[in-house]
Amino acid sequence: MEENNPIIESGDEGRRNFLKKLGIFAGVGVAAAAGAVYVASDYEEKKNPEGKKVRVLTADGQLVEVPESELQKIEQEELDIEDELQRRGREGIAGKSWVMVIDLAKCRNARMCIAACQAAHQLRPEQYHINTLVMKDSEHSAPYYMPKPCYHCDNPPCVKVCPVNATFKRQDGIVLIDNLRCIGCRFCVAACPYSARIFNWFEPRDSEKYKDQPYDVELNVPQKKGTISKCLFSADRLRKGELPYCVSSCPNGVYWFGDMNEDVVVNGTTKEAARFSQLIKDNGGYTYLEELGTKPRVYYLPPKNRIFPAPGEEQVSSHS
Amino acid sequence: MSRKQVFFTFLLSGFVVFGYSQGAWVVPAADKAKKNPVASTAESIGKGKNLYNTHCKSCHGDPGKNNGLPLNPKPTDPASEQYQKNTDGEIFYKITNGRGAMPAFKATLPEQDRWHIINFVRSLSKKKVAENTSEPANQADTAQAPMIATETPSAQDTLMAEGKLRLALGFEEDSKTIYARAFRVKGGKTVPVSMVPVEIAVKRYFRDLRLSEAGTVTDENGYVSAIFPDDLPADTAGQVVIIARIPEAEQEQFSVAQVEVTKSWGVKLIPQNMKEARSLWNDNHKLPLWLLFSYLGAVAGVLVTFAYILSLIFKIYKIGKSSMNA
Repeated sequence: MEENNPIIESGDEGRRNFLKKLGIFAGVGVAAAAGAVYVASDYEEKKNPEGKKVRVLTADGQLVEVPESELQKIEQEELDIEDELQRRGREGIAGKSWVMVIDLAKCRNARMCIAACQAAHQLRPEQYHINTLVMKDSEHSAPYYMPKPCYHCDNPPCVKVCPVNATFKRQDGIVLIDNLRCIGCRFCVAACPYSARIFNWFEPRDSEKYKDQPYDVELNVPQKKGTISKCLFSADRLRKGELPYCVSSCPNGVYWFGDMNEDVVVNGTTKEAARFSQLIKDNGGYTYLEELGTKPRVYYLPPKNRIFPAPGEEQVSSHS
Repeated sequence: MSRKQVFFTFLLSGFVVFGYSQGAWVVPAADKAKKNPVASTAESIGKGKNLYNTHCKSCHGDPGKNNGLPLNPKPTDPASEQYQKNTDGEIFYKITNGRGAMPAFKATLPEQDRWHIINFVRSLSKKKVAENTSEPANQADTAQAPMIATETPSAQDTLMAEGKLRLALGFEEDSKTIYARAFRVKGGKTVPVSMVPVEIAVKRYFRDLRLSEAGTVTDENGYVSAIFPDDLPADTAGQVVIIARIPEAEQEQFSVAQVEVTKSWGVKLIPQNMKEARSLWNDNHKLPLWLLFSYLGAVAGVLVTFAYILSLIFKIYKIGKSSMNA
């Protein structure tokens, strides 16, 4: 008995296995059949009796007609694009350390930087990522115009206070905001000593028009109501090797932008390249409110030897 | 702006009559008679051209194209006849003091630079160059410097006529000097080409950093030289790419492929990823250690206190039980 048992057992096993396999096959078969029926019915459903065609624009800009029934949603791909934008947006560009130099002597309040910025970031006219302020430090000091972007501090108070990791600093020094994470608590607005951040209290400009656009964290578009926005150093342009929107649109040579690791900054107007360290040294460059320990990445050259009239002087000079 | 275009415009400007409605800009007689103390050398003209592009072009536009900004009064095209009618002294006075939308460059540009600009502006009109050279303001200066009016056309003519212009790079390792040479191969041997605007630059991300002085042209042996700054950062492999080429503004006229050479010069870049430092602003897993330990310590303290209280309650319970049994 003892010896026979295994045989009986194995026979039993064999039968069991056979039944199991049969079950699997049957299951697969049924599933396949069901799938086929589903696909067929789906096809029937999608097939448009009128043969209605839809015009679509292809990626290379051609207008083509496609039967409506052949249209497929690409939600998943869109999600993938967004994921990729998020990933590279969080990571930044390795080996770079962006820096901006603003020459206050050159600014005449042309406001082209503001216009270019607002156009790129879908901002309403009263929302500023960069603004030119009229400065007069004390009663007897000379007034001047001061473009004020985000300073992308190396010790950013705004990033420290974010409770949801929505705002972050990248390895190339840029401070960005992820509006998909932002909960609109505005702690960062309170923390920033430079008032660089704005809050989308209302529906952003053209929000209807751009609502299907995948969110690009490097461009902060489409803007979202109830979230924070601010200057991004045009992170999307830097990736392409282009100067930021404000820098390249300035008509007066105010902005210099470059990579501190290369020690070279480029003037947005004249496209002239200069040593960053030399420029700062020769012209007495400084950072704004550096005593706060925020370590800003934007340097100012003092408003010395102005070639354009200072604020409030325009009237006088035009009649001379 | 190429010289060819300037010449063309110069021809044109002879026929075009410019209508003007602005009030006369009166310059004091003493200033009007002022002579240009800077000789009109190729170097001076080159400097002047760069200064023009930096400070004047945004309003006055490209010389000869009459594409200045529509201001009132309209910024005059420096290649126009109306402009060239000014004496050097008048132009100098106008640049210095400005009027209306024209800023005063008194404080911004050194006198020398203003004269360089005037030399450049004059070079746009050959007639004026001839006039200027016939009565040089400073004979000591002009005597040793070659005149652009005689040099440029000949160099240009030879370029047009003969074989292809080429560029080459040479290096002196010890002094880190870079030489760029402009030459043509003619009958199996190289012939240097002078008066070719060549710049030596180092490759950078947005724009390349020019090492040679602005507006440099090749000398009689076809050379332009520049010194590599020792403290300039290289890439992470310790290498820099050095480029010799024709400046962008001159590329219409001289179509020469740029030459690139990789050198192991400069300071090797060790990029610092600031995300690796522990800081309050960094990602959660990069929080400062003091914060990590004080937080964990606080949590541990609370748990230990709870445990202690529970143990006390348990002790009381045991005492109560034993006293009930007793």
